[in-house]
Order: sequence, then structure tokens, then C-alpha cells
Amino acid sequence: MSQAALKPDAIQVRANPSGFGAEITGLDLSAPLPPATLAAVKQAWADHGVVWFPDQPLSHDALEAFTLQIGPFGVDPFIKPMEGRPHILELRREPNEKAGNFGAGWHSDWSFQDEPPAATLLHAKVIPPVGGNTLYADGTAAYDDLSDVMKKLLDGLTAVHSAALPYGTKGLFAHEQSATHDRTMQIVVSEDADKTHPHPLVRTHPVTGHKALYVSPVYTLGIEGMTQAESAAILSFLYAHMTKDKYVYRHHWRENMLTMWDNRCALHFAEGGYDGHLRVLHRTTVAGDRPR
Amino acid sequence: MTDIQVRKLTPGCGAEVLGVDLNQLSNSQMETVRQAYVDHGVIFFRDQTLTPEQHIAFARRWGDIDINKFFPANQQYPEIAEVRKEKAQKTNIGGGWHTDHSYDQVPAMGSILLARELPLEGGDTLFASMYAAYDGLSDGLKKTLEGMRAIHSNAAAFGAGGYYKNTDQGGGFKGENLVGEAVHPVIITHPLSGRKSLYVNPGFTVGFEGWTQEESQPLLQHLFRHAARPEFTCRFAWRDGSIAFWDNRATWHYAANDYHGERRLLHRITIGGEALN
Repeated sequence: MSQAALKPDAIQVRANPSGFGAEITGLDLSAPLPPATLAAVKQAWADHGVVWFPDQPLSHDALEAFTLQIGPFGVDPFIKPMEGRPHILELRREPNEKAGNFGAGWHSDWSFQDEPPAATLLHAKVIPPVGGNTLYADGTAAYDDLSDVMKKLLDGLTAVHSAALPYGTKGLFAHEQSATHDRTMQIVVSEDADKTHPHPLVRTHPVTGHKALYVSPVYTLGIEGMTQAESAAILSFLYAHMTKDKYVYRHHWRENMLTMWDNRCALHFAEGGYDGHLRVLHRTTVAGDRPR
Repeated sequence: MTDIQVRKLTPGCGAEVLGVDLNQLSNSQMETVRQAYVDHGVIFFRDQTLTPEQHIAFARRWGDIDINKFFPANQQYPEIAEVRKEKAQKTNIGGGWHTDHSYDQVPAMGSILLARELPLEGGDTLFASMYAAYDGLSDGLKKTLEGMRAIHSNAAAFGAGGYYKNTDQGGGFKGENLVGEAVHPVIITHPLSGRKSLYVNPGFTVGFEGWTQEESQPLLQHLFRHAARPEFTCRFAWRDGSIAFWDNRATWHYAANDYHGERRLLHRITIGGEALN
């Protein structure tokens, strides 16, 4: 029985058949949400990992205000924010841009931080007619489906995260900046990015209590105490496992859609395929807790 | 009489025990041989002249003889298994990295393999030290593997639909209905040396207990690649009178198949072992 049937003004949550990913309608994000509605949104976000709200034109102020209803802003390093909007990043790729599209690797946002963001919110301003989907992988279901003995082993492991591969002084973007200069987004390569940070390989969600795999090929360098080759044997299996079709939801954007995902239990991947077209989205993050 | 000498073959694996006649082994020499076996996991002797009876007598000094369920036995001496490849045969026995009998819950301790007929060149046997393989793991993976157990099966090698039955060695093998499996710790404490040893092998280890095949294979294949690193191995070139005596709990071995058109015959006696933990 949906809440909508009980209360005509209540929101509608339409989840994917897998339960991972849900569309939320019947609300207006440009004004503060009543406490009950906000609670229902937060519950849907916890239940489904990724939620999206179609047809929500939002000013910068409104995007910031809704973000703050979910929680305090996260800390966003390495990318220059919008002028006068320190908490909004503009993900912009021009039609003539040749640089690879941003976020084109499986990751959980800023997982190299001590307290990585719980949520990322992305608001679509200009969406290309082709390509540009975002893929989400369900780290909770992927963990649940592992053998109990393997789960137990993984529960005891610590993964080492770092921003070094993309943002480090020897990373992807540092290399790109010396080779080409056509990226619109201003990425700040930093020695800070070379730091490493340990997190449990299996993370327990602070709201749902569910365990999820918390590793990604973009930010996880290895498993604490193991060599690269040993780590790769375990991690490459986990990456292949958690990005299987059955755990992946492919998200199609529309202009004015707001999408909010849970970095504590989901990975995401930005697909390209829209060269020649402008794509603009605005992004905020909500602070999270220390993974445990 | 020259003094008995123990000389490593490589820093990682194996030692030759020289200056000794296995038919006239004093108690102190036997003690040196025993210690070399414990220390190095595989030892080699040269220029020995053991008859089958003397081969059996030497083996009995180490323990009970374990008669292999699958190998063709010598007609006259059932204790002796024949590792044979005829001129016309293309398949050899043991032509891949493996540990004998790991599919038994109480696996054999080791085997004493004696050259009877050798090709002019080729037919070497390679060994890999599982002490060295264990020592070469990171502390993190050592810790992770402690407490894990692996499943060993001989069905793929000796079963009715197994490897040997479908080769030109198929006729010699027996016991295809005796296939089975066993579970052993991935890291064992060696019963003689007390050292930790990696106890999985490409010949018979099929997965980790409680893990699916898909889950097991990446880590298992990594361990197989790691353990076969050249630094952990040695290669023994046979001569008339040569003997290799290996410990299955401390080594893998691999019989090079590079002597087609020539006959090779070795006599193998296997000595019983104990459950591993």
C-alpha cells in the first residue's frame, strides 16, 4: 500500500524492480519540505540508494537549500567551485571538448576522505540528446550475494583509498594538463591527493545497518598489508562482481531532474558518448560519517 | 669414505646430498639426510645403485609405504609405481605443477623417485618450495589465508572423464572409480619442520571451502602464479643413478615433457603421511 493512497498529498516512490533506484514525484523541491515529506524522502533514499526527482527546476539557492535539508555540505576538494557558490560544482562539458568526460570510472565520491560524503546531489541543466547516462552499482546487493565464508573474510579487511590516481601529482589529470588544455572544469591537482586513507572494505550503513562493499577502482589503491598483485587478485574480482548487470542501474537524465545517491552503498560511473553536445549539471554533496 | 655434504640447488628450493651411498647409510648419515629433507623440502642423490629391494628398504626407513590407487604398479613389486613414458607416447605423467595425493585427507608424506631409464636429454623435474612461497606472501595475505581451507579433488586428473583417461597414458591408469576429494588448510604448519607452508596446488586444488568457483578462482590463480615464481623453484636434471626425494607438504613438482620419441622410466615409492593442520 503506497503512502500516496493514504494521503493524497504524499510523495510517490516508484522503485526499480531490483529495489535499487527509485523515482520520487509529488513534491516541489524549490520550497522547504514539510518534516514528514523530508523524512519520507530520506527513507526512500536509504531504502533505494539512488533517488531521482524529475521536473524540478531549481535555482542555485534552492539546490543549496534542499541539500542542507538532507544534511550539512560536504567538503569538495580538487575542483574549482562555481563563482560565488563554494558548495556547487558545475560539471560542464562543451560541445567541442576533447578531454575525457568527468567521472568516467567506477567510484564512490571522495572515498579517500576521513568522512566521505553521504550523499551527492546532481541537478541537470543541459542534457545532450545522446549518451551521458550515469550507471549506479548496488554495493549492498553485491555484498549480500557473496558466499558467507568470503563475506567473513572481507569483513576483516581494510582498503586503502586515495585521490592519487585521478588528482595526484602523478595522476590522470596532472598528465592531462600537461598534454591538453581543453577541459572546461578547473581541476586542481594537489599533493594532498597523494595521501592515503584506510577504510573498512565492507562498510555498515549508519541508517539501514546493511553491509556494503566499499571499494572502487578509481580511489582504492589496495588492501592494507597486501602487495599490489595480491590486492588486485581480490579487488579485481570484487569490481567485476559488483558491476555485473544485475547490480547496475542505468540512469537516463532529463533537464531539471535532480538525482541524489548514497555514496555509502553505491558506486557510480559517468558514461560519455555525447561528443559534440553541451552537458551541464550542478553538484552538491552532503557530509557523511567515518566509514565503519 | 668421503664426508656427507648438503648443497643447496638454488637459494629457494632443494639440496643435493652428496658423498653418501644409500645402501650403506650410517645412523649419523641418516640423521644428516633426514635433516636435509626437513630443511629443504626436496633432496637429491647422485650415483646411487639401488635394486628395487634396496629402494623399498630405504623407503621403509621413513615410514609406511603408500600404494598409489591410480598409477600402474611394477608387476613384481607392488610397492613401486612406474612413472613411464614410451617412445610412442606423447603424454607424460605429472606434466603440470602439482602436489601428490593432496586429494587424500591424510596425504602422503613424499616420494622417492629413482631413475631407471632416461632419455638422452630432457625429462627434467622442476620443484617449487611452498615454504618460500609462503614466506613471499605479504603479512596481510598471510593473515587473511590463515583459517581458510581449500578443497582438493582428483576427479579432473584421474576420474573416468578426467585428463589421463583421455590421453595416450589412459590405458595404464586404474581406479577411476576411486576419485574423491579432501579439505585442508590453505596454510599448513609442516609436521616435521614446524614451518608454515602454502598448501594449494594447480593439479588438485579446485577452490576454497565455502566459496563459489567464481569467488575462488582469482585468488587461487594468484597464489598459483605467485608460488611458481622462478625464485622459489629448482630444476633437477636426471642422470643414471639419480634419486629425487620430495616432501609433498613443502614442495610442488612438475615433470618436463620434452623428450618425445624416447623412453623414460622411473620407479617411485610413496611414503605415508599424516593429516595436516
